[in-house]
Amino acid sequence: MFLHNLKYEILQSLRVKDVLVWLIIFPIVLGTFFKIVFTDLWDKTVVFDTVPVAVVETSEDKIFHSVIDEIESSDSPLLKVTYTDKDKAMKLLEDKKITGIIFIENGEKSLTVASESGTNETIVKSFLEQYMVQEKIITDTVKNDPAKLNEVISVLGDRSSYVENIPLTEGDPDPYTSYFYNLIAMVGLFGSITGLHIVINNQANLSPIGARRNCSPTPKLVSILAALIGSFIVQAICVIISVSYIAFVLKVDFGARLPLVYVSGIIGGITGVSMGFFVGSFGNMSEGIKVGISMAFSMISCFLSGLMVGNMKAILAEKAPWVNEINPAALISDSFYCLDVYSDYDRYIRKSVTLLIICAAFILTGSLLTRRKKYASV
Amino acid sequence: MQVFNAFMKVLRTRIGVGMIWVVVFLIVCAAAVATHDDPSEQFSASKVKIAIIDEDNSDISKGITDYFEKNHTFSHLKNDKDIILDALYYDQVNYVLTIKKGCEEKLLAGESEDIFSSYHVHDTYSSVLADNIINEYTSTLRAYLTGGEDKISAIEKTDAALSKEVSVTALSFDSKDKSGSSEGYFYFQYLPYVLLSVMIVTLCPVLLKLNSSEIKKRTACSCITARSQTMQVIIASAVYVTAIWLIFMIAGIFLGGGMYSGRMWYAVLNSFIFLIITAGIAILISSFSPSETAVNVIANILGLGMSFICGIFVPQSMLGSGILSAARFLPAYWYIKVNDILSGDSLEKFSQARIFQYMGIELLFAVAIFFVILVLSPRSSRTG
Repeated sequence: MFLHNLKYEILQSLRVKDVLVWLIIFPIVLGTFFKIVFTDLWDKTVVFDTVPVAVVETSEDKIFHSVIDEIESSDSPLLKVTYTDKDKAMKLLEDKKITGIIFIENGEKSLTVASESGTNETIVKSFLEQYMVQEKIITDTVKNDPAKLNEVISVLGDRSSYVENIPLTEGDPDPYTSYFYNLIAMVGLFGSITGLHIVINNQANLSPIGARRNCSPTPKLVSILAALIGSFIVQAICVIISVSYIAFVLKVDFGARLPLVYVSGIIGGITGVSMGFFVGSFGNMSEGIKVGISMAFSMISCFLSGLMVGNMKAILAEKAPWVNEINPAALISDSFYCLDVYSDYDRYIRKSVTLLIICAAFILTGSLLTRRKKYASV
Repeated sequence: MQVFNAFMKVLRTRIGVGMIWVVVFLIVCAAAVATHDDPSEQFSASKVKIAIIDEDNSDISKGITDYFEKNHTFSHLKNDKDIILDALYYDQVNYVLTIKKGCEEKLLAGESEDIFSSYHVHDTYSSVLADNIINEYTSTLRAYLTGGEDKISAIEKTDAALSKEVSVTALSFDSKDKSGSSEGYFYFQYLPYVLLSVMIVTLCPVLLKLNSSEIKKRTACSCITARSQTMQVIIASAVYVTAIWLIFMIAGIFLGGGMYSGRMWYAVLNSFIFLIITAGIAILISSFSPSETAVNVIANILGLGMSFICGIFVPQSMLGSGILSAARFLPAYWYIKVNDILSGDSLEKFSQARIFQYMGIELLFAVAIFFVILVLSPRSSRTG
């Protein structure tokens, strides 16, 4: 009887085609968008453009000139400089043609920028500061021990890095990979729609199929268990398709333990289905409201996990760390992260076990709420 | 007015679900605005969150630690890989510097190999900045040591040289008519995502019910023309949609820090124009009669997709030129362009003509969408 029910549950889920199709299209479309946006974003944040600035001098500073000339003549110049007078420079700044104006008055340098500021302004500012530091070192040396000037200049010219970066992790986490983690978490949690249908299909007042099931002699435990397992399987298929698409077509790096990534994704899907089952069992609201509640919950969960604002999880870790410990989407995306970054399994197991406990709680409460429902008439 | 009345009747039964979504998105908006960093602070954001593990325990390593403690956000961490990983993951620090044993000796001997190591999760702006600051510090210190300074005075002079900041004047060119807080504009930046999602999930179910075969057949056999039916649906939707928009505008006053004034009104107008587009999209989707559940997923695809491509979640200035040229064909791109000009984040200077030009383009999108709806409507009424 159980297998019979399971078979029809799966068949029936597959026949709700439009929902299924959208559940599969959803990660494919959004994943592709993410890939396009973030590939470009990475180039933009790492490769800096040349910053246009104006220089206004009241007294000529030959050394500064020669430094600027040298910078401008390099292959990918940091700055593009226009020498001009104050009024013209102000006009250029107002028209947003330049990032800032460097004023040189009696050897003192100051910077004027437009109100709202960003990376380009910081680049100009740190360039000026670096210049001033070196200028000070050189004048100090000239004062103290001019004989050592050449040595000092060669030390300053040594642009090698003193810091050796030690890779922390097994994988190489791209900062944007977390968006893909959250996307899979969202696909998993959208399983709540499937979970919701289990209850609707078992309630005589909500669907004809529910009425048919309620007058059959199959024990509720058997029919609901079959329905749950059927939904888990369908949802698992959705998640497997999404993870495969993201990993193999979009070539997002999940680290070396891809099989466990699938396992996490499937656990996420099971969490989603259980959540839908719980919401569906709760109260006598209409289908629309129940779908609304479970979708809204999935969305808030993903929002808190950083799908819309990337650093949300970090903000929460600082202000309300417990949210990250119980938020399903955060737990799902964290377990992907743990797989990529940590060599041991402690955190991964903790996250997965928490998710399974949440599932168990949803299913248990859901079952308690659905049992003993009798219909005198529909 | 029969169709209009029927719309309102259906709406009454569906308003509960609609309000769930309005509340959810208000929460999302409020949380996004509350956690938003003021961009004007970015300029002073040349600070890094750093932790130092001092294995050398020498004068120079103390000098470095003092320098970072004074000028950056500094935290102490135990030398335990798990603790470091967690701190990096949860963004408590961006960068962990280890000053290796023997660092001072090597620097005094004029060597610079193998003195520091660092941990950071990935190359971000802050980790590159931290690298630069450490290199800058070391090279200055080495220069002073080479110049014949003794250890203590070299540390002092390095500190003094690096702590000297260039004087920066930030001018505001359009202060006279610029108004509205950065939170306010940030709220409006998020609004297209919210409006699009809210419109699809609240308006579509009502329209779908109205398109259900019983109601549709009843209206089809009345004497009301198909065009008039569509117009009535559009007007009724307009009333509903405007009411939801008003809720968000009122919420905006509270979330964005005060009553709208000055240029902020352009942002309000801009959001109204975008509202028309979103309502159009919602009506268009419902004309393909998807299931109510599918509507929720479609809303997410459109809302999130458009938001990522058009610069709602990620600033337009960060997006690549390829995406931006594709985004031109989406209305949210033009909405964000207007909002960026208003908030001063754009490379374009504020001008009324430019703002109206972009809003005009948005309106053209609206016209195009409604044209498609009108073209589709007679066909769907025949098949009903």
